[in-house]
Amino acid sequence: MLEVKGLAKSWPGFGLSLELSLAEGEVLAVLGPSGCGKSTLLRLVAGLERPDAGRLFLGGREITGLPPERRGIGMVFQDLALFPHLSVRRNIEYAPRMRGLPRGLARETAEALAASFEISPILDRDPYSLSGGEQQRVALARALAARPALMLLDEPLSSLDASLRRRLRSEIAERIRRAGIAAILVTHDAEEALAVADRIALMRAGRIEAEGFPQELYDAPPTAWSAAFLGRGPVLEILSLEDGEGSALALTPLGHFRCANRGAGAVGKAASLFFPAEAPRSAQRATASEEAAVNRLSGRVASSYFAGRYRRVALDCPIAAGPSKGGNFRLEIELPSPFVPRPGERLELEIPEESCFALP
Amino acid sequence: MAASHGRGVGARDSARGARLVSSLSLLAYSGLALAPLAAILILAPASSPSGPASLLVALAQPRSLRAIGFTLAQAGTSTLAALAIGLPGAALVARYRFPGRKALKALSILPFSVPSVLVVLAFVLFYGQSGYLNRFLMWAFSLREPPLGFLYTFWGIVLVHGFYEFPIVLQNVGEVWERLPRDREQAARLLGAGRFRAFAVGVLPSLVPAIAQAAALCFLLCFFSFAVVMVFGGLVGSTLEVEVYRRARLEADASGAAAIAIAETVIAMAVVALVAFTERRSARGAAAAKAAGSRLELSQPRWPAVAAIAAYALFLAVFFGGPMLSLLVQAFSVRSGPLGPSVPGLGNFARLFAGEGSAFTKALAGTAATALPAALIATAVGCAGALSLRRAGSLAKAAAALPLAVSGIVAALGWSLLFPRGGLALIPVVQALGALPYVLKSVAAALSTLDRGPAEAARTLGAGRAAAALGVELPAVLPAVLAAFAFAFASSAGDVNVPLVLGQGEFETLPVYLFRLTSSYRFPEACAAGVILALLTSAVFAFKEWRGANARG
Repeated sequence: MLEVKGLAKSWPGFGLSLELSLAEGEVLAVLGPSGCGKSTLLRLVAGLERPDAGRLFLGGREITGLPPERRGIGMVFQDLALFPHLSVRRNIEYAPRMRGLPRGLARETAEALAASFEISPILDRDPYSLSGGEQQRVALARALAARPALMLLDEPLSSLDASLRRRLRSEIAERIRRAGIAAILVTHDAEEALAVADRIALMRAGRIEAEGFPQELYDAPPTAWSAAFLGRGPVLEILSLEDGEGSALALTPLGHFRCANRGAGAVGKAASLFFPAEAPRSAQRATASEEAAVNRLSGRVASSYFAGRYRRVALDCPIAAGPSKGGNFRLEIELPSPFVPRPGERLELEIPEESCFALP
Repeated sequence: MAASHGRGVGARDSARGARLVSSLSLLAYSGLALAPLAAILILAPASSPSGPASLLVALAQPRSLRAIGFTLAQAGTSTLAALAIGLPGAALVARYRFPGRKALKALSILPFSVPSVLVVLAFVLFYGQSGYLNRFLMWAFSLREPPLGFLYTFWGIVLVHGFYEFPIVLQNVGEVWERLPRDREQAARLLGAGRFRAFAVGVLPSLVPAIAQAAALCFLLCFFSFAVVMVFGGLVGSTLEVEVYRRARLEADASGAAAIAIAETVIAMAVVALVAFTERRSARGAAAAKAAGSRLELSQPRWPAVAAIAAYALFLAVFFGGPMLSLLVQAFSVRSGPLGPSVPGLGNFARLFAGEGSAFTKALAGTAATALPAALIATAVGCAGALSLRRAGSLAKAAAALPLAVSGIVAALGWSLLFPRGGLALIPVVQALGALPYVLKSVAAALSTLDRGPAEAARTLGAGRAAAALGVELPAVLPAVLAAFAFAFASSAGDVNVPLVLGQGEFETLPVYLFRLTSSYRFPEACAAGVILALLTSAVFAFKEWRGANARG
């Protein structure tokens, strides 16, 4: 329903260039660090910025040259942008009135929306007298009152505290799905994107780094950068990679690792080894052939903390190969929580071959 | 346990005590500012045979009523002119990045730092009967008579005021506009509003308080205008400020002057109250905007905006820069003979300094002798006042704005009634009182935005209360204090009203000297003296900029 083709926009020191498509009723999360251009992408789609190149289609109709008010796109801004001098009611009635609806009809629309958003009692209040959560609902209701074909959400929850954010994000997703419209949610919070979206586009420095369903990206991040950004586990530099049958053997500063999973194009290029933080399990102390051991990690516990079902452990591992040989490399891994390692304790760990990925 | 309990009670008591002391000191300060008014009200009619009733009689005279009407009309029209010139500039400054943008914003010190006498002189040179503009038009269209003859009319006053006060509008409105979150306007666009309706819902409501506030300030300054009206208004009418001066000093009509002074102050107080009211509203708006966050980013102008900026720049360069340039040209040209053409030269400056104890040198010394102490007094008292203001109740805060309603002439007259033998020493005191509300506001604003964090951090790192205030907080507000000093110096050095009333024709400062030269049409020397006066007042601002930049760097 939304097609973004060859979209490009550049400023000194920054360039955005990407393709994107969105299906009917789909919720896409655009996830990336701050400054990667994700808000700019929304502003380009909304028509608040002019692209240098590229074309935009919404429901088969080209909207590239249309002013924002004629695109049929709704947006919830990062700071909500409620009109402070208008009551909640007048804020919600604004779009229907702009579309030329008679006052009575606009009123009905606002009241119906308010009822379904459970904000009827605050309709006649001043927006800045409301709580953060209420303001959020008003902003979404106001945007939906325009009956947009596509909804854009620009980090709408970033100013709220953690527990409210968690509650509201499922509420927002539910309301948008109920309205049956497609949406793009921009966020820098991986957890939020994974929780809310049908599909995720990972954005890095103005480009789409990876795209996929949440589970897919979570289980098998396609690039080392995505693995690190999603906070899935340690990423080690690969010094050399030998391709074998069914698996590859990677030499990293922490030793050799056999990987059952190879990312496309990993072999032969500068690449990284990744394993999920929860993959390591404890191994028997290596005996004679410690040097030759494959898929083994050993290190001293620097610190650890309780994180619910698991314990997060910082491990200082001696570097055995490469230019920094002789130093230590700090790994952050997750171990089952009943196990409480003491600082300074030495751990011997093993990482299953099927949990190791060689990624571009 | 008992000890800590005792300390808690003590702390509460001392906080309450501090609030009481600061509220009292603020009230004392407003009392000080209103004392001249009381003196006029009580002492002036006492000398009249019919007593207090004489005030009402004087006020009911057709001449008094005419002056009230004329003052309101010229101030109102002048304010509209300042809005018409300033608002387009505010719009451009708030949205686009262009060369000269900062300079345009910095013009806002002009109404306070460039003496009104100087502006009068510049406008005479440019717009006058034989001014540069008329001469150019006569040459360009081969006219025999100068086409523009409005300078010495109502419209001349409006023109000068409009160009003198527009930077206040430009700066105050531009500043708010620039900080306005842009997303409301964009939200309106996405909800279906066109460009203008989006502006009306997303921007305008937040600008209204700033516009009202700038307009009220312009109105007040035009309402108190003295030199401009003295020079240009002679044939068409007189303002209350001029009327008070004439009756008190030229006609020896004490009760008439008192009546007019009171009428003037009462009207001004209504305007000040309006300013205070809109200020509170805009403070609320600012808080809402702050809550909303993201600010409008200045953009590189594209074609229609470039044309608008160029047109605005050209407009200002001709109609506002022209007079200023005329002043410089005139100052540096000398006649080669009695009827010969003008050539560049320093003759006018030489003539100023000619002779032992020339009037100019005396005036220069007089300016330094009054403006420096005035600036020091205003800054010291203002800083102390601002510190008190931080703790004071809202009533005291409102009272702190009241002195704005007492004009220079009224204050000078009142103080001379209170201290008939005060003589020249009164001049810096009265000038300091005039600058005080602005000093107070500027320092209080800096204090209110002061981040308490660093000082609190200093306390946890072992600094005492005084050490933290001096070592951490003072450097943070120093630029504001310097700005306040520069402002107080410039406004006192450029003030013509107070020395004119209190100098009794014997003591002159530069503005008084300039005023005398301008009134007697001795323009070349007046221009040379004006250039020196402008250098004097702007040097202080330059120092402040330099020092402020250092403090930041």
